[in-house]
Amino acid sequence: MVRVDERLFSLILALISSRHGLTKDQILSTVYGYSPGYASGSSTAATQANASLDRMFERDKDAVREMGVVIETLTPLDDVDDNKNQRYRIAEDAYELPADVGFTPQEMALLELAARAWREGSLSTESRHALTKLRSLGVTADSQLLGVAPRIRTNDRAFEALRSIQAAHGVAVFSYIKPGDTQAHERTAAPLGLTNWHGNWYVLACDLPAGVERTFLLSRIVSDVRKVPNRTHERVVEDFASRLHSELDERAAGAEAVVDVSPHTDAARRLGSRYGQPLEGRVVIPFADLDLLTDELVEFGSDVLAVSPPELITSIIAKLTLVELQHTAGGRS
Amino acid sequence: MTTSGTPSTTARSTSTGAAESKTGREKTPALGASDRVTLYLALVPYLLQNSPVSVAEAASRFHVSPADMRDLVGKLSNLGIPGSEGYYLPNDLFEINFDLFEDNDIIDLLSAVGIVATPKFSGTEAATLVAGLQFISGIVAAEERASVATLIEKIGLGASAKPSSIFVATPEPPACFDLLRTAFSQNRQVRFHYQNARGAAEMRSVSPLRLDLVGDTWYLRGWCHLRDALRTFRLDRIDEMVVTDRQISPEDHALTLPEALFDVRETDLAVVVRLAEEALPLIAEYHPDVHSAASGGQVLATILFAHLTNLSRLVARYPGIVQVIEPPEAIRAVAEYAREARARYV
Repeated sequence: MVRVDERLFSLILALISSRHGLTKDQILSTVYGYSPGYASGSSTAATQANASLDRMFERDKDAVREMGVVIETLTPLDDVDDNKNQRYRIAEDAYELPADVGFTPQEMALLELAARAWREGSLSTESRHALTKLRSLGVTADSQLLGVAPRIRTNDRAFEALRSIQAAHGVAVFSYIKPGDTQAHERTAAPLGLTNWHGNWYVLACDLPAGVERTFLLSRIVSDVRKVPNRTHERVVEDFASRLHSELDERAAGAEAVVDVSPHTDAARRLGSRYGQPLEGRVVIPFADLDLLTDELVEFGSDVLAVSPPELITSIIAKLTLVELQHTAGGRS
Repeated sequence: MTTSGTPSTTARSTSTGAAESKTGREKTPALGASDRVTLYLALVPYLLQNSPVSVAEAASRFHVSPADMRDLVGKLSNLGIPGSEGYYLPNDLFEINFDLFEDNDIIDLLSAVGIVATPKFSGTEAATLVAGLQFISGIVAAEERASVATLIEKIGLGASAKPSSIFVATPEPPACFDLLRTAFSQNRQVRFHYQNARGAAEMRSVSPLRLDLVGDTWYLRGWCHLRDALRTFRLDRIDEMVVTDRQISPEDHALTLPEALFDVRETDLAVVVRLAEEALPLIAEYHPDVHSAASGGQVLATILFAHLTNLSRLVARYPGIVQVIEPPEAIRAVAEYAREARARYV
């Protein structure tokens, strides 16, 4: 039995060195890893054996593409209905890192740090592969930033599913607890871009069936994210993630909360570090999402007192009341 | 626990990261199929430029074990392209100098087939680099920041598909970041004023070992000379930092930092909470020990807390979603915490 990695590597080598491409039959009958299983002739057994090789080839094509290797399909003009003569090829210029893309030792250090920021989550495999490719250039990183270990958190379990559905322009189904609600509701939406803003992951998505853009906070997705089978969402591709980032920035610039903090408390220390030292016990906080700010402030309990806007006060009081009710004898469910 | 509003961990979770050394160098993982294919694709252009090279050097370059490197190179010499007749003939295979390889542990690639250059990045690989660069751009020196923008452009050119849409905003570097950088580079201890979750403040002398940025929160990890123990400090609770004349000792450097940020103490209080099973991800970072399914899709879970203030903060963060079941003093503490806070608005 040939190992999967040897078969995939052999497939890449065969397709890149063939000038005019190879037909599927040529691939299945000659490439290492496929060829021993290939049966010639048209007996039932041969057809079955080849059908399973065929499926293997289809999966391998996807696996190779996910590694960044583009397989071209060439269809002879007079032959559009018959894929028997379709040829597969990897073009060198589509495969190779352009010769003018090189990196200095200092740039390598930055790239190492950037790739390692993903070491916690589902993208750690991809970032590791990116590093492997970079290392083949033979440039040794100059390690100036030793001792600093930045890490991007992707512990929202929805992250990986949304990212791969987004990359495939697919449609997702998930349960979402809307801010302010305690009950989850099912949503169907096409994810467009993912943004980490002040430590929280957001997804910009086209909410279906209404077809309107909405922003969801990943930590409020409380179910597995499932891909709707065989459904794609057409879009004009743009940099949705940066747009979402600017929109969150804009939203934060447009709204300010005023909060009093008790001196010498953790609230004074931490809110002061983040939003500027309190002036006469008062901190001004720009915010994008009233409910997230409510959560952030409710956490500090009686060490903070919201002064404005009124809807922030209402929302804080509602949450505190709910917590108290749930934890007193009369209100326990 | 040195912080609050932040998770305690169970002993179970602390064991997972023990293999990671404090410099953040990753442990060598077992290689999967996609890892090995990527390694073959990267190894060939590297060897074409750099061979002969020792197995040890190639292994360290690609962060794999020497055994894995030997295995990859050994396999490589059996791989190649089907020639015009559809057979793999010797001329169509990678050729290495076997004597050097087997007798001297040296890799000398004599000829290659099919590929010469480093492959492009996949869209997702490029996206991780680009988003990672955005993320670290806030903490690199000012002159390096310009090169981050150039780098992002270059990565885009080197990708075989448009990087998928991921953006990670640059977190603000904390006020004491430059001082810590000095301390790291000059190998010196720091002293600072630290105020814990309950407002109690002390001067701490610390051998800084690593600076962790998790999400948008910075943590300093080091040996605390006041407590004589490894401690994790939130940077937003640090004040009046100075770099001292004391060196960080080799013993301190030899310490292994666990991957989990927070330590479990024997004095931690076990608290049982009830929540909907589907809401568990919300409190995942508190490492709940889920012990039984209660009725109606609800679960019970035990979480360890160093102090009831930390528990109250967690519950206040998810009102109506997380409910404390026992012990009674924990329930009372949460109710009191909420009542006191609400009383300020009346």
